[in-house]
Amino acid sequence: MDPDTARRELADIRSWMEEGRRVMVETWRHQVWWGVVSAVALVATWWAVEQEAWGAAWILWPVALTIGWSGSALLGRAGPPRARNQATRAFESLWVGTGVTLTVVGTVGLYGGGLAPTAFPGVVAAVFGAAYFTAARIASLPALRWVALAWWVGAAGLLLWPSDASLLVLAALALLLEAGPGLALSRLPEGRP
Amino acid sequence: MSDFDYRALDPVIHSRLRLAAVSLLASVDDAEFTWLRDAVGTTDGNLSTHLTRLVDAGYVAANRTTGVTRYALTAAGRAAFRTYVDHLEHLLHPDPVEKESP
Repeated sequence: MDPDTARRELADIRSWMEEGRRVMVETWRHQVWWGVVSAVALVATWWAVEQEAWGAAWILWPVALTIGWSGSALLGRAGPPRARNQATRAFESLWVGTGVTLTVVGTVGLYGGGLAPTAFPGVVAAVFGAAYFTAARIASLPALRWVALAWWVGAAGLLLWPSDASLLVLAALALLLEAGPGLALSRLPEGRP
Repeated sequence: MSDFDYRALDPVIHSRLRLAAVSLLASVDDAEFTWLRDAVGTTDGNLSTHLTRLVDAGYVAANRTTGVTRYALTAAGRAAFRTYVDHLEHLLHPDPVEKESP
């Protein structure tokens, strides 16, 4: 083997290894699913609050969370991604962790009285901001940092001006900044950018 | 000119397709057959033949669960790959003075 052949072979090895490192997780289905479920539940909650149907407002979220997690479990049955690396595992852990955090905040926080209902939308938006900021680094997708920034701006607005309409704003954010990025990620090839 | 001996290269890895498969597997925890096939750009039969060679050599482990076979590099495979890359780098940058064993 001559040095030129060795040089080419090493370049090929680097290229193949780079391909493996770019493996992307298929969490986008979960993001779209949760974005839509959350938006529907938030609009329904807003409607219940407007109608002063407090019983309906309080029962909605246990139902929505049950539907949400059941859907996630079904999506998870599709199996693991075709290739896994450290980044895919970190990405999956990040979203499961975010989901559990929001479930705890939304159930124990609200129903236990530790979190004011008016503060809930802002807290949710802030948590999503942190999650997307971390996701941008793990997945090497800098564009997701803009999604994080949008969530944080939304969180600041929701916490500064809490109102019944906050639920509708959060529903819009869920569609735009959760289901939206999920759809965008679905259009990336498995090896992506 | 280097005194590089190409025969020192591991014959199990020294094949373009097997080298591609090992390089890809070195950068992931595990992968399905179809992902490897698409990443390497070859046919099912061709990849299957080469993967069997790697499995037989103990460099790759095949794990079949729920109807899908996933492949992962074994510790021996990782060591062999590292040695292979070291040999290539040695060919490009041979040590000027051979070190004595301690």
